[in-house]
Amino acid sequence: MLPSQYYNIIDAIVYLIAAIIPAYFILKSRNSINNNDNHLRKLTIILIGFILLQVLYHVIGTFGFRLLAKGFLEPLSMAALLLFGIMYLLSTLKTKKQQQQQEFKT
Amino acid sequence: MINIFENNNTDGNSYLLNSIGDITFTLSLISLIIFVWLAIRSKSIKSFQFQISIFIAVYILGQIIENNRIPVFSSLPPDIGQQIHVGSAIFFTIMIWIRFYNAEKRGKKMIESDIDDYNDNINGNKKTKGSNNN
Repeated sequence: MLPSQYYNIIDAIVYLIAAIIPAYFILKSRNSINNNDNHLRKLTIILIGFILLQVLYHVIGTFGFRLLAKGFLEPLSMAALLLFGIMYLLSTLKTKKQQQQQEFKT
Repeated sequence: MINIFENNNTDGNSYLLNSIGDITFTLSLISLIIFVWLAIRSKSIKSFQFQISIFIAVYILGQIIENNRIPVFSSLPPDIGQQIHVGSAIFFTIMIWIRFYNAEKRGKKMIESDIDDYNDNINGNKKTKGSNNN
């Protein structure tokens, strides 16, 4: 076994351990009808998407499918992280706007 | 036609991988810029935004070294890029688990946002208005 394969296995295991927490939160908030929780749930789903794509990327990389791993799964996982960042940014800007409107009313 | 399941590295594949590597680098750099901006706005090193910025920065560093595109890093051992990737993954996992532990302990949310501050402010205003009326 090559050292790079060992690193890929370690990476996959570590990301899998990280995925437990967002998965737990998604399951916990499944029955919630609160709008704020629903938004947080969407963010968590995107975060878990990024983590699971990283797991898949490292698993595929372990088996030596370098083109599939590096050429498709890694950019896809980074796109998921970027989507997470954009969603987070939009929610922050939206809240700021609401806050300003609330201050204007009062 | 390119077979994405093939595991041998030809010249054509390595050129393609380098090009896609640039796309991946750009995507991660944009994510880093977004989170750094959010971290500056939050003004706290304990914030989720700051911690995820560190994770992305370390990941990008690992990627730069792994791709071996900058001559300065060519003198480093060949595995160092992957070791940095493992380091960033461990940092990310520890960060998520510590945030979860603290959130459970203090009854707070894992990802603090302006939404929470906004809701807290509104609830606070309502309470003070209510107490003024009484």
